[in-house]
Formats: sequence, structure tokens, C-alpha cells
Amino acid sequence: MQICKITLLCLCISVFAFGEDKNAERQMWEKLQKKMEQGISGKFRLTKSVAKISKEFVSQGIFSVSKKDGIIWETEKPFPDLNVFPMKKLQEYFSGDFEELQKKFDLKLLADTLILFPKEKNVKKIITSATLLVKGDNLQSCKIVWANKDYAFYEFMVP
Amino acid sequence: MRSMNLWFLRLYILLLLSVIGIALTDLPWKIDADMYSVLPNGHILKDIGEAEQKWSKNISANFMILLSGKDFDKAKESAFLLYNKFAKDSSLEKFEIFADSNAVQDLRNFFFENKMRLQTKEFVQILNTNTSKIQEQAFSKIYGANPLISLEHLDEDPFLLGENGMELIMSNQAIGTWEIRDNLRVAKDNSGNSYILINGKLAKDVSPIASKKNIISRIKEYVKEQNLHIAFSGIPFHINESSGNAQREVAAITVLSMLSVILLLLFAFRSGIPLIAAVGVTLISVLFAASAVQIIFDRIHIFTFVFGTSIIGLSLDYSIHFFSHWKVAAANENGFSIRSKIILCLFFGFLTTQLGYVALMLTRFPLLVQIAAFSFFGLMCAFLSVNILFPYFKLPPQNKRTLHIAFVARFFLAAKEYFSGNKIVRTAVLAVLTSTFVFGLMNFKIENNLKDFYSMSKEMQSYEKLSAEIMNAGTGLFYMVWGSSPEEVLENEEELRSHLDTLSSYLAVSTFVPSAKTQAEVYNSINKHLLPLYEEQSMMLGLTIKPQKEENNILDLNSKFPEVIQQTIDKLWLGKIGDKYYSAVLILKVKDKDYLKKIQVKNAILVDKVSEIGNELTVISKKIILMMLVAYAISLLLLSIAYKFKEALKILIVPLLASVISASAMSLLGFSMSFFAISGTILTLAIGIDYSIFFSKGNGDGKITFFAVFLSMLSTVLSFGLLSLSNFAPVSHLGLSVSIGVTSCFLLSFFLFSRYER
Repeated sequence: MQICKITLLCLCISVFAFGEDKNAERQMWEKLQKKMEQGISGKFRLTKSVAKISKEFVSQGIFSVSKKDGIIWETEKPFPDLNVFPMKKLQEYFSGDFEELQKKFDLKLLADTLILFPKEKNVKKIITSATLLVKGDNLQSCKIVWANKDYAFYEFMVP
Repeated sequence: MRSMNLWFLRLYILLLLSVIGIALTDLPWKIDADMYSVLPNGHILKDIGEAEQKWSKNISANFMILLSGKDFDKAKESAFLLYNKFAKDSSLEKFEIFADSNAVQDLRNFFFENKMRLQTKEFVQILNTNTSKIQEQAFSKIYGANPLISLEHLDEDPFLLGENGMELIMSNQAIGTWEIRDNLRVAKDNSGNSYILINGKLAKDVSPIASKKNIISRIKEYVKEQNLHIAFSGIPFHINESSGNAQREVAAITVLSMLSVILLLLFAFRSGIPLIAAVGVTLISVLFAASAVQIIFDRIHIFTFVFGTSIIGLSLDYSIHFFSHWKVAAANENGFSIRSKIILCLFFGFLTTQLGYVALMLTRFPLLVQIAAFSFFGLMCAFLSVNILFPYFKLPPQNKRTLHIAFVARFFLAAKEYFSGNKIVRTAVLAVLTSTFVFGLMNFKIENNLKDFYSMSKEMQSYEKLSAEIMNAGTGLFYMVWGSSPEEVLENEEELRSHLDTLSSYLAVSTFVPSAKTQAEVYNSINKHLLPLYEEQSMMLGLTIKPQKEENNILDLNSKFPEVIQQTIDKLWLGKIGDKYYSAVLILKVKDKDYLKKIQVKNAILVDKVSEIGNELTVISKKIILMMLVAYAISLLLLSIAYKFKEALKILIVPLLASVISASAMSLLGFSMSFFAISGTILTLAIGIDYSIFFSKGNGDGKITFFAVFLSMLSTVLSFGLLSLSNFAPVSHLGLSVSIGVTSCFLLSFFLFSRYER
């Protein structure tokens, strides 16, 4: 379903987007991919905000990304949980190709922040934007804002 | 004699004018090309045939077009070119290119509103046994990384039941690998090429038969004109292609058949009168046959014309017999005396052939019944025309009363003498015939595989392959489920689905509209196990709003559904037929087809139409063999009245032997004896009996009889032989089988019965 694809795409983007290059989106993107292929792990903090009830749900834990295992997302607080997203499954939705990204999103690079705006009218009805904040070698955070004003804010702490 | 004939002439003209006149008032005649509608129904399907036809009709009007390009923009350009051209065409009920942009939200709202009723059986089982697991699952969704879960209804649904129902129910639905781009449905093949989908449906009463004005033909023409890269899928395109081929074949076979017969007649009679008369009678017979079929069946199937071209050969036989005598008539003879000479043999030949067609008309195969009726009326008209009209023809001048068959006759007579005088050759021929019988009958197998009867063009095959790769095309299998009320149908579906869940993916109405019983179970289970935990769950999530107990507003088939679900229901729910309600459960993928057949569920049967029809054709094949034997027994009785019993038996044995030779030869040539090949051997019995009668009982000169029967055989073999060149396997099987049979019958009759000597 479309929503699955778009949201998984955002998740992929946040995973692929580890690295730096402030000169051009493409260079930055390709570096991020290379970095991801080497494997990444660290801690996360995820904040989900629901506008309708003015409520935030915060979780913390550890994660790792590798070609072999995909994304392993282990929530520690407030509730222990484990999610695994196989890389093959993620790549069905998004290959990581920059051209494909450009076809689906308008890209805007502001200093160390890359903002993605969906191009599709019907995707816009679901998602407003995805903002990637890159500091040093790492993707520091990713914020996905939904059309109903809800958002998911992923913060990463990579050693 | 003449005055009596005048009465017959009046009645004949009246019959012709009334039948053709009545049929002409129906113009334009409905030409049918849908093979599905004329194929036989299996025994099991008989009771639910109507529901099955409704289902076939539903799906046979739908089609899809996939448009590709070098890139997405080129594909989009092509798609819009085609869409703008045909979107408003009145021949189409539906021609959709845009995706429903609100589909996701509509589905989300629908599952939220029905969260107390739309849950899977597995979910209810967990709920009844391990409620804390449901709590854990809800927390996992709320705090987990998966961004797919919407939390917007969390205050009213703290266990995210709506999201849960949508995830579990919709994830099992085969939705293909579509994505939405520029509001269009886009899919990629294995090589990464993009395709844009256009969904279409023919308007009611619009036929896909190939013609210049037909919508399917116009779409194909436009695609060719604009050089669009495209793949078609759906029954309308297959019908369009096969009917186009059939029309071309009918035209080619008819023209070739007529041309070869014209040349044959011109060569044989060296006069224009027999040619004009014979061709005229054939044309009148075809028109009369088509009119009669139109009146009786209200439509004519395109393949009736294909098979019906064989009438050309048969109707000529009568003309040939008359003109063979006409061409060598004595000085004191006229047309009426010639008729007197041949009418008895003609009548018995006609009667026995018609008995064969009547036997075919008694089958439960609509297409064959129509073809047999066409042949029956065509032959009847030919018989009447020859016997009523031809006696009025003026005889040729005395100096031109001669037959030009010297070289053919010489050849056959020499052969006959050679055989009768040479025991070794006779033994050798007998040995060859016996081995043909033995080896042929050892390989003899009545088999009907519907897939062998329709051969798709390479182009259509590649289109279907591509469509199957991109779409979830299904297996062609479905279950027909029925009950005395919609609720009973849904309950039966649920019972069936409990067997199907582990081994197949499928589409069923009850997935989206569970039975009231199931909905009540889900509702009660949630109320019993989860509702007491709502407050605690809300508190744990820091929510202050207390969820309210919901009324159980049962979903039924009249409820409002999101468009994507409504379309599925419309496709599968067949409604009330007779005093029962029906639905179809469509099997999309299956791990073990044999297991599907073993599933025993009350009021549900697996419909594997392709296999069912194949089996039914085999049953009918065996039945028509039996019926033909009955027809032969009647013929024996009738012939015994005119001739002695022993003589009648001799007459009948020759075509019987010829039929066996035909069947054996077909088997030796590697053809399985399909229904159509069997029909060919049956026709051999019906046609070949004439040769046997004329050679053994024909009046007058043996030379004339030889000439007439030889020409009859040649014209029949020409007509049926041309049919054997058809690309349509059933037509080809029939043509080949009759050609072999009729040739054998001629040879056997000549060598065993002919009194023609040097």
C-alpha cells in the first residue's frame, strides 16, 4: 500500500542518510549510502507526537544497520520491544538510488539539514516532509511530519 | 409428376421466403464469439450454472492495458494519449487511469469505525487466551520504530484495534506491486521497466468481436497508429483476437473452398449450368441455414460459420449426382426422369446424414448443437432445392452429353483390377489396414484439454506473461459458495476460508464483510476481554479520555465501504439467483491444487472450469459415439425396409470401417482423439454412408455413379481438407478426421461395391 511504501521510504532515508557532504545533495547521499554499507550502530530516542490529543510518546533504545541483518531496532524504554526490518524488504520499496529519491521528493539543502518534500499529490495528503539533520559524519536526527500534523522524530547517537 | 412438383415448388418457395424473411427482420444478427458462453457445463456445475455464467459475464467484460515507455514521462504521455482518446467512449462502462488518492485514508477510517467487528480469527483466539499479548502488541506499535502505524485515533482506540484490523486484513490481500505516481498506478517488471495501468470494462451489450467499429479493435488500431508500447490483458482482447482470426479463416476457407469447387465443377462438366446451379444452391442453403439458426438460437456463433463451411461440400453432392446423369442423359430423358433415377439413393443418403446431425444436436454442448442445426437445415435446403428446382433445367444438346473422367476412371479401374487379380497385394493391403487399426487403436485415447483448443498468438502470450508478472492474475480457479441467505453464504465462506488460509491466497467477500455471527463473536470477545482494560491502558499511555462502549452496528453487504473494498465485493458477490444467494471466492495463488479439490465444505465447490469442460467434452464424446450407433441402428432399420437386411448391413459396415480408419490414423498421426476429432469420425459415418449406398444400390450406369461419387468425395475432401488447415485446433481436428474418413469410405465403397467395369 502507498502509505507503507512512503513511510518505509522515510525510514530507509533516515538509515541511508548517515555521513556528510555539505556541498551537494547527491554527494552527500552517495556518501551516506557508502557509510551505511559499512554498518552502523548506536542509541536512539524516538518521539512520536499526536496532534489531535496533544500527546507525545517517547521511546529509547539501541539500533544497528547492516546489509546482512537490515535494521534491528531494540526499544528499551518505556517498554522492551524488538523490531527487525530485513534490508531486502526495505529495498523493495526504495533502492537507495539518488535518481529515484529525486523523482519522488523535492530536495532542499540548508546548511547541514536536508529536507525532503513529496512530489506526489496523493503522497502529500499523507506526509508533509522528512527532515534529515547531519552533524559531522553522522545523521543526527530525522523528523517525519505527517499531513495531520503528527510527527515522528528519530534522534541518533552514534559513537 | 409436374403438377405435384409445382406444389412442392410453391411450398419450397414459401418455406424459404418465410424462414429467411423472419430471420431478416432480426437484422443486424447477433454474432457471438465468446467461447465461454457456448462451452458445455459439467455435471456438478449444472445446478449452479446460472451463478457461474453471471460470474463469467462479470469477469469477461473487464480488461486492463499496461503502457510503457523509455521512462515514466514517456509512459505517462502514451497513457494519457490513449486515455483521452477513449475515456468518453460510450462502448466502455469504465476506462480508469487515475488512482483514488484518498484510498489509504478511507481504508484507515473504515477499519477504525469497524474495529470491534473487523478482526481476524487468530486475533480473537489470542484475545481469548492471552489478553496481555494484545496489550504488548499495542505498546509495540505505539513506541516502536515502525512509522506505518497511525496514532491519530489512540484516544478512542488505545489498543489500536483499527490499525490492527487494517494491517492483518489488508496485508493478506493481493494488491500487486503498484505504486502511485502523479496519481497514476505504476508498476515495474523484473527488468525495472515502468508500466502505467488503465483499467477498463465494456459497457453492457457491447461485444468484443473483431470489427472495424468495435471498441477493442479501435483501441488496438489506435495503439498501432500511435506506435504505443503496450500490453493488453483480459478476455475481451482474447475474444477480439480469436474472432478476428476466425473471420479471416472463414473468409479464406470459404473463398478457397468455393474456388476449388468451381474449378472442379467446370473441369468435370465443361458447362456453366451445373456450376451456376450448384453454387446457387450452396449459397441459398447457407443463407437458409443461417436464418434458421438465427431464429432458433437468437444469435449465431462465429465458429458455426467456420464449421458450417463444410456445408458447401455436402450440399454440392446432391447437385453433382443430378448433373452427372443430366450430362449423359438419353435422348428420351428429361430432368424429372433423372430425378427419379437418383432420388431413392439421395433420400436415404440425406436421411442417414440428417440422423447423424440429429445425434449431434442431442449433445449438451451448445456450440455443437448450433453447428449441427446449421448443417441440418443447410443440407435440408440443398436436398429440397436439388430435387424441386433441378428437374426444370433444360438438358444439354445431344452432342455435348458426355463425361470427361477418362483418366481418373482408368486409374481406379486399373487399381481395382490389379487388386482383384493379385492375392498378395490384397493381403498386403489388408495387413497394412489391420496394423493401422491395431496400432492406432492401441494409441487411441479420448482426451480433451481446453488449453490445446485455443492457441494464443505469441504477442498475446507475451502480454499475459507480463501481466502475470506485474499483477496478481489469479489461477483461474474459484469456489462457488451458496446459501439460502446472504448470512449463510458468508458463514459458508468463512468455513471454506478456514481451510484455505494455510495453502493459498484468495479474495473473498467475507474477509471484508464477516458473517453477523463472526462479527458478534469479535465484538463480544473485545467487550469481554479488552473493554475492562481500556481505562488501565489509557492511564498507562497518559491519556485522560475514557473510551466508550460501542453499539454493535453489524456490517452487511449494504454498508458503505471504501472504494477498493466495494469493487472487490461487486466482483465477487453474485447475489440472488433463483431462491439462493451466491458468491465466488477467487483463488489467487495456490501451493497444492490437489488439496483444494479435497476440501469438503457445505455448499461450496471448487470450479476449475478448464478441467471441468475438458472432462465434460470427454463424457459428451463417448455419448455421441453411443448416439451415433443408435442412429446407425435406425438407419439399418430404414435401409432394411428398402433393401434386404444383409444388404443394409453391408452398406453400413463400410462407413463404420472408414470411421475406425479415420480414428486410427488420427491416433497414429499423434493427435489425441479430442471431442472434435470424434465429431469428425461421426460425420464420416453420416457422409460416407451416401457413397456406400450409391456404389451398391445406385441405378443406371456404373460409370455415372462412379463419376458422381468421386466428384462428391473430392468436393467434400476439399472443403474439410481446407478446414484442417485452420489454426483453431478443434476446426483442424474435425477437418482432418473427416477428410481421412471420407477418402477411406470412398475407396472402400469403390473397391468393395462398385459395379463399374471396363
